[in-house]
Amino acid sequence: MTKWITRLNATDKSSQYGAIQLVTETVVNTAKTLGYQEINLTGYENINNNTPRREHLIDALLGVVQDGDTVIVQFPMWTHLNFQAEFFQYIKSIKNSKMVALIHDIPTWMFTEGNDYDRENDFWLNKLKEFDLIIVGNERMGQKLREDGVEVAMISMHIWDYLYSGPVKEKKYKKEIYYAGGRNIEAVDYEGDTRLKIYNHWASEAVTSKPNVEWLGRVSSYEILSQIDGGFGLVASENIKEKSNMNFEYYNQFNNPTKLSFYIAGGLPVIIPNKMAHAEWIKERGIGLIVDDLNELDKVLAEVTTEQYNEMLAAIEPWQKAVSEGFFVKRALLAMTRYLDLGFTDILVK
Amino acid sequence: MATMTYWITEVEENNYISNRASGIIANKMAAESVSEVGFRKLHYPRIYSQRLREMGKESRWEYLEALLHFVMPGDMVIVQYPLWTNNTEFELEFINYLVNVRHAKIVAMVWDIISWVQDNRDRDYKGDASLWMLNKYDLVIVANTKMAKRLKSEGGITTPMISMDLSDFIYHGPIANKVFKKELYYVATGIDPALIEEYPSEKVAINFIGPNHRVKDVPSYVRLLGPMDSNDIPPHLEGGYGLLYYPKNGGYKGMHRYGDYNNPFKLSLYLASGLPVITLDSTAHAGWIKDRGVGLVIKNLNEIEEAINSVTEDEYYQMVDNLKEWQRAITNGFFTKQSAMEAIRYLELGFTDRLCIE
Repeated sequence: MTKWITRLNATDKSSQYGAIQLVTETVVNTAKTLGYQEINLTGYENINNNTPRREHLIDALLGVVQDGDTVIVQFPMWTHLNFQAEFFQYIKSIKNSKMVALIHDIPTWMFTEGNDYDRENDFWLNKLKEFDLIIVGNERMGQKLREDGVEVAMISMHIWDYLYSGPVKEKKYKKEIYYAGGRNIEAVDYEGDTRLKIYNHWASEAVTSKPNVEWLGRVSSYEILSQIDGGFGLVASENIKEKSNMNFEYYNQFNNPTKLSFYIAGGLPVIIPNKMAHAEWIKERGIGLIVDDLNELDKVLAEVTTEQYNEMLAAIEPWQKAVSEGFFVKRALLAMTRYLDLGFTDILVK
Repeated sequence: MATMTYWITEVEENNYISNRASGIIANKMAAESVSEVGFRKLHYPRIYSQRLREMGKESRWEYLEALLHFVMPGDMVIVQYPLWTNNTEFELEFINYLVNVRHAKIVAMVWDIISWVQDNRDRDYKGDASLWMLNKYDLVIVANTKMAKRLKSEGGITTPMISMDLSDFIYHGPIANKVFKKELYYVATGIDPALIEEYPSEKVAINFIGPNHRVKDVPSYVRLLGPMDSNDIPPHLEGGYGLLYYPKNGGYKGMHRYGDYNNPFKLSLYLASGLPVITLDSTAHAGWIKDRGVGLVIKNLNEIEEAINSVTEDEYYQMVDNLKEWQRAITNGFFTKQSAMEAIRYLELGFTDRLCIE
């Protein structure tokens, strides 16, 4: 009765530190502390039109799984759809096996214009219906899946972990905000006085030449966490126009943003738009501010005192510890055992 | 620079007691399990009451300084309760030091309510130290929801509570393949003559494991397998059933009723060994044992023979199979880990969805 978890590896050294590889690795490293075993896979080539090759690959990968084992699939698998469908099918064909999805992303919602996708025939939604349990990012994601017809037992992670054990600086109240991202920034619709400091790979000249923007280029995430000494972390904003074929404005209402956990791991209060899944919680716990339009920021910060900022720092501390030590993955996996193996339902999303 | 630390107390005893006394074994196993999910151990030597009294308050305070002075403000400490010193004053000083000197948050992980083990008279227990002390804590991890209710109603406990559900028994050694047989096993830290007195069934042999200082002559259907270290017991449980029962007229006066509420160490040991169990229908565990098909539920000991006779060989092996997941969870420390994680989730992060409510 081994418990397995998939891990997406790079094939060559240059892509070893890709974002997707890193997030699946983070989860696996925490799962291993609870005795889980890795199923290692990578991006296999020439599989789309080659059924026997896919069969061999999948047979080799999943041949290790025995009757009665549990397999957690870090979902999606970022490979061809037929490979994923057959991978799931194979797991289900193993006698008494249990198959769990740990959701990183739901591509359907990332690429849609709005609520206009075809729920009946959507690949991802239909595949999720085949699982015995889904570990969702947060309660709102769970509710959204239900609305989309996925009636599977769910456990909520609440937020992502962001494993970090390096140094962080003592924070002081400063009227500046940080935005650390992986995507290119084409424009920033923001004219306020509060300084916006951007860490990313590329921003247009229109952005870098703005007097209220300080573009800091690409810096490793650990370095950022060890450098920041005050201000706020911006989780997302419609004022920042990024180059992407995905609809993050829509998607961010339901997902667990890595950035949110990243800032929390650094002990930095956050700024988040009202419609995101975590806005209410952040407000309630006093670990950040709700700002929908960055151009309102000066006004919002004018109301925030040093004392209030220090209260936010104190309120973050327990979350900082939890996030940076893998609490949320551990808790979700223990809750999974509680439901799948022992039959308790008190930890499921209602 | 996540500065706070999660701690759990661990009592240190000599090897003999550490391997034989269920309270100490449970304490050490819990500390080990919880350390696997990010807690640090706060070791302390077991000091007996008389010595604590003799050394006086000032010396005791120095002991506490030695043991606890590195706990930081805002840290969370799970205090395994009781501390096994049998000294109320010291146990109170211990938590006062954590709260008033070190400004830590404290969680009681309750293994036993000594007053209820020792006494079953109809009286007000709220003034007993083993109960009122729990109201000094920020959170109490209790055996199960049935115990939580009793603590609230009879014990006057107002502190929020989280249920452990079951106790773990960490074990990774060999176990015996189970054989379908009409026999019982009974593990106890001492064989109580009252149990032999109350055990009615001549036709169902009962195998005792544990030291025997009090019983001289035993009937033929009672076999004494002798004392064993708890880790040596699982390979000896070869089939049949593990009996959960505390005699009505046993040495501990409250134990029979207490057995309706506690998480018996025996239960964890039997399940860890893969052995189906027999329990009274009044216990906290009767419901799930029946629902999940991992044992038999009886009204009283007189029903044992009939209950055992009603089980077919296939049904017996089905029970053995049904309990595998529970066996796995218990032997890996699942319940302790989970309750410690839920304690963090409530006390540090403010989630209330796992608190025991009426």
